[in-house]
Amino acid sequence: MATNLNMFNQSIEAQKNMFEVWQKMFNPISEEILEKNSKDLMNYNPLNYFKEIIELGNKLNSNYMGDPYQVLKKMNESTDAYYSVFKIWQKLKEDTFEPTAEAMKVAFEEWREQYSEYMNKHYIPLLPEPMKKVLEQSMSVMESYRSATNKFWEPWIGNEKELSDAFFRGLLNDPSAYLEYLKLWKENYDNSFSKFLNTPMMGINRELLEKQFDSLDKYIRFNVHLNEYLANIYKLGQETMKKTLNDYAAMYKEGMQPKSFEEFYKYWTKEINNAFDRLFFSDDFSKLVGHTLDAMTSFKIEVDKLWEEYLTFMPIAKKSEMDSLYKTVYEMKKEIKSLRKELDEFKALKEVNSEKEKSKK
Amino acid sequence: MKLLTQTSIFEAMSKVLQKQQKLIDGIDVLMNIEYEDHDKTPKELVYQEDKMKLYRYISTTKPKTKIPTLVVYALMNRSYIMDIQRDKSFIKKLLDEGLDLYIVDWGYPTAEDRYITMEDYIEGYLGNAIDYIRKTHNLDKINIISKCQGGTFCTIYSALYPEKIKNLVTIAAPFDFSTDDGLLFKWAKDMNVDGLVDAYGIVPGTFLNSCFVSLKPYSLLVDKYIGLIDGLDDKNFLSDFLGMEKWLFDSPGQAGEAYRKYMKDLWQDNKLIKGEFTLGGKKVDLKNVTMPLLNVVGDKDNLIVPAASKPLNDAVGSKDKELVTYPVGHAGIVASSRSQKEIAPKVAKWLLDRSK
Repeated sequence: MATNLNMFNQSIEAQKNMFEVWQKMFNPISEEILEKNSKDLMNYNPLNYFKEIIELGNKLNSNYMGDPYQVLKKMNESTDAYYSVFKIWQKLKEDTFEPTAEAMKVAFEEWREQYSEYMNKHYIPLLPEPMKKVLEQSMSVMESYRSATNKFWEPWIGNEKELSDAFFRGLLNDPSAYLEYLKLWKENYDNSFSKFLNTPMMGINRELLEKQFDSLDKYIRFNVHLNEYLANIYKLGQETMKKTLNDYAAMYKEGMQPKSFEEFYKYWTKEINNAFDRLFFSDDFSKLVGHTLDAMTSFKIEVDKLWEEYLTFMPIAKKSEMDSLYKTVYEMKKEIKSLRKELDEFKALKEVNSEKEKSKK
Repeated sequence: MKLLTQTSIFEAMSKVLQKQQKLIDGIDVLMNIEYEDHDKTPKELVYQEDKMKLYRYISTTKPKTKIPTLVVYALMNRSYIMDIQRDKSFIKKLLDEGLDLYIVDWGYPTAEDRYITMEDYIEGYLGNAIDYIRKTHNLDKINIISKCQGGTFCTIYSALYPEKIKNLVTIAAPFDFSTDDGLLFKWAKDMNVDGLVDAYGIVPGTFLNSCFVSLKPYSLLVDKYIGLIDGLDDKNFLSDFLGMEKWLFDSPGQAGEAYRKYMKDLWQDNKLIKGEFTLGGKKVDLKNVTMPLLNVVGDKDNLIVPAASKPLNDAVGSKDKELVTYPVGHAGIVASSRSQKEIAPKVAKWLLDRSK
């Protein structure tokens, strides 16, 4: 695509397009249209998508409760992971296999493909449905916004090449590059889209528009953090396997390599657990977990507000109204308990006094 | 060399095939297994306040003391881990040893409970349960056995109302939150607790579950289920596994305001051990814990690490105090063969010796 350097026009055009798209997406739907095309419209309305994300926190780490059927499913999934480790061990044990750098690279590449597949098939499915969608769609969100970088403001154009390189080099094949991409993406986002989304709005729909843009801003930030979190996990898996293979080569030379698959699997499990510990106990990762959680809850709070805005004209109680009611009930209950306690004490005192009176008589 | 390599690959393949066969055979066993073997020790409901229920266990053994013992578990998991499977029931063992037991069931908070505070839990529900037992038995003081967060709550209560507690037992309970030995302690410090509580009101139990499995993701999400294949044809093993699995993921949500204070004051600011913690406007001084104390710690506990539990003994004012450690984890400390053979008998004897 030819680079269009007419910055002013691009900027105006991009803002206009984006504004129109979001206006369309969030405009309350009239009853007429709803009746006419309700099914399609509901599918189209992004609020359905948001609704699923709202469920995210409630279903974090899925609805897994450990019943026999779920356990069986998990066992099947786990054996796939087990098998992928077996495949690499099988490769290492082939009679023609010599642990040269090239052979190790080939073996690692084969495992890497399986590992990515494993992560996609078995790590992500452990997450609840809405989060899975977030993950799958966040990739396309990333891609959409990457495309937008070609047309948008100056900060994007400044390092568009690095961004594109990092993105395509990165993703799941090279998580370090992907992390690099995310870092650049975040910086650019802060300097462009985020500013746009946080621009004060005008007109009769001012408040609604601000809430819409705010929730979009929070949603994008949440995605960036979530992607960073997952890229770290991918990176860890790949680095650990590389290290395991290098160590295996060294042990092979000494004739000290694991002799059976059980030994190899035990060795690999120990390595991956240690690697997780190293990553998880690091200050950076702890902060990343904190930021991801913070981004998720900020997003939820904003989306809740947006939902309430849409439900204003519906004959149902909103969450904030219910919370207010809960607070009143809580305070009344507390007062009743306190009064009941006082009453019991008075009754006890009265009984004692009455006993005393009786004994006097 | 070539022959040896080929042989070992065939051996490995054969083992993988054996595992696959076990997996197939195990489907039938899994689909028909009875695994809800918990909470079976008979008990009766004696007191209820909102969602909190107080039960008294019905023992077949005559109590060896007139001083009853209240068992208090954490808000974050269900207390039936202490009465899981007949042959591993901590509760049953304590009853058999001669204790007269009550237990608090905190229930599952729902949206209306979001404003319940730590003060409500400790001075309200817990305090009222203790007063009920004292009144029923016409006693000034009762014994306490407390686990995990329940241990922290009961210690706070004991510091505020030492005149009501005869003996205090804490099991795998956190008191010094400054440690970075455990991931929960490390991650909690970077967590925006206000955001979480404001977003949810009732902090979802599934959120807590995801924190717990994140501590050892490969072991807890993958390797555990691979190991399970070896025991698929063993009904007892499977039943134990599924019972534990059910308990692990049966986490009640957390009443927001109580969770906010608990996490911010204790997990983030470590106020309790520093003597800066207040409850309902009252300062909580651990030196006021003057009754006999038994602090039981699991050396392999990766949730409430020993470094968080052990400092209690130096912080309290008790003269009669004991710290015991066992090579067990957070669940195993009350639900394992070791807890049956060693820990429950130790706790019972320690209490009986001081309840004459």
